[in-house]
Amino acid sequence: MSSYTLHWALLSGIVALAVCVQAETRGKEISKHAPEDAQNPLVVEFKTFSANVTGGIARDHDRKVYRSGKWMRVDFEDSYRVNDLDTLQMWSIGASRCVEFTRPDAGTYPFSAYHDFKVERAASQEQETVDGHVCRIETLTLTPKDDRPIVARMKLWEAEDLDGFPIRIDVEEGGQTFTSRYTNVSLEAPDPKLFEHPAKCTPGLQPGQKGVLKLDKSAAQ
Amino acid sequence: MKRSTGIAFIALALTAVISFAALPASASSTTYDFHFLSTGGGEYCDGIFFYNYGSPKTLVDGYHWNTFCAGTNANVNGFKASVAANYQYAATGAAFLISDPDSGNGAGGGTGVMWLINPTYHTWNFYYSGGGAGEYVGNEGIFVNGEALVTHGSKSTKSAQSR
Repeated sequence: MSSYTLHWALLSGIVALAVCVQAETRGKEISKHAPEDAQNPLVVEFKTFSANVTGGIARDHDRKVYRSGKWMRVDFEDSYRVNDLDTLQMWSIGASRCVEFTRPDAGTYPFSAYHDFKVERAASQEQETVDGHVCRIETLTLTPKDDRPIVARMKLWEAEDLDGFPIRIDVEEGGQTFTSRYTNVSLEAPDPKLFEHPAKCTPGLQPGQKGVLKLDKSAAQ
Repeated sequence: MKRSTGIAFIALALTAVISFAALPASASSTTYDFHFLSTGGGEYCDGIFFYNYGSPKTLVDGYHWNTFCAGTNANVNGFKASVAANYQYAATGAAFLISDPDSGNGAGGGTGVMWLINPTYHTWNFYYSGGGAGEYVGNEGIFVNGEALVTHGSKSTKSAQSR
């Protein structure tokens, strides 16, 4: 084999290796959730419910949320948001508008969080009564599967009369604690129509943009 | 006489050039001051005031006023840069990226907030920090900027961050 051929063979090998590595990296970026996420109870359990959430990362107050499998809906006064918990896409839909985001609404937290984290579960014998529900307490320690230096600790108050649904969830991460409280919990499957959304929102201007909106001060929030 | 007139003219011209160069940066800055409006045009109680200035004109400094309708302001700052359309509310291209301390209405527990304000499409939206686990969409809406100071108050009792 001539040195010319050897060089070409070597170069081809390097290029092929680079392509493989890049493809693998892209694969990791696209794959948001891995099969071994099964340990996270917020992922694999409580797949159908509706409730009112207060608190969380957005400090919501009595906001209605619904879940059916991978879909989670968050209601607002004049609109709603449908979130795909697998892809973390979100459709914000109003009477005359539809906008798609590539990140979920804050009201889905913590059900949409830490899906790509390793989970250590620790049940305790401790019991507490929250809002009239007798709860057993479980703690989760969540750490990323990659090298991000993050540790999140989650404490769940699981109501015995609601099949263990966590009516209170505290998440401690980075020195801060976010508390989500769920009331008016129903474990019945929500109407599938609640999660309907356009396959793709029409991109472009929405009503009222470009400063042409006639301000209606009486419509204050 | 002609010579002295020429010298005077040159001196005057130099003075004009020096005076122009010494003008404060604000002469070329743009002021933004507006209420956050919902997507339907309803007014939230809070808003934002900031200057866009610098050379290149990509610096942003100001304050988020009447945060959580509590009458207090939070200093904010950031830059103007291009942001992909799928991260903005019904907009594309350059947006102001403005970091907000998010006081949590004094109750603590606040997380990082990043506003995206698009001056071309007159839209805004913001993201909550997930502490390294991924961001969340907080709220979105529109604004009308008069490029003049507006009254920093409202009859509305709901802030943009209260959703």
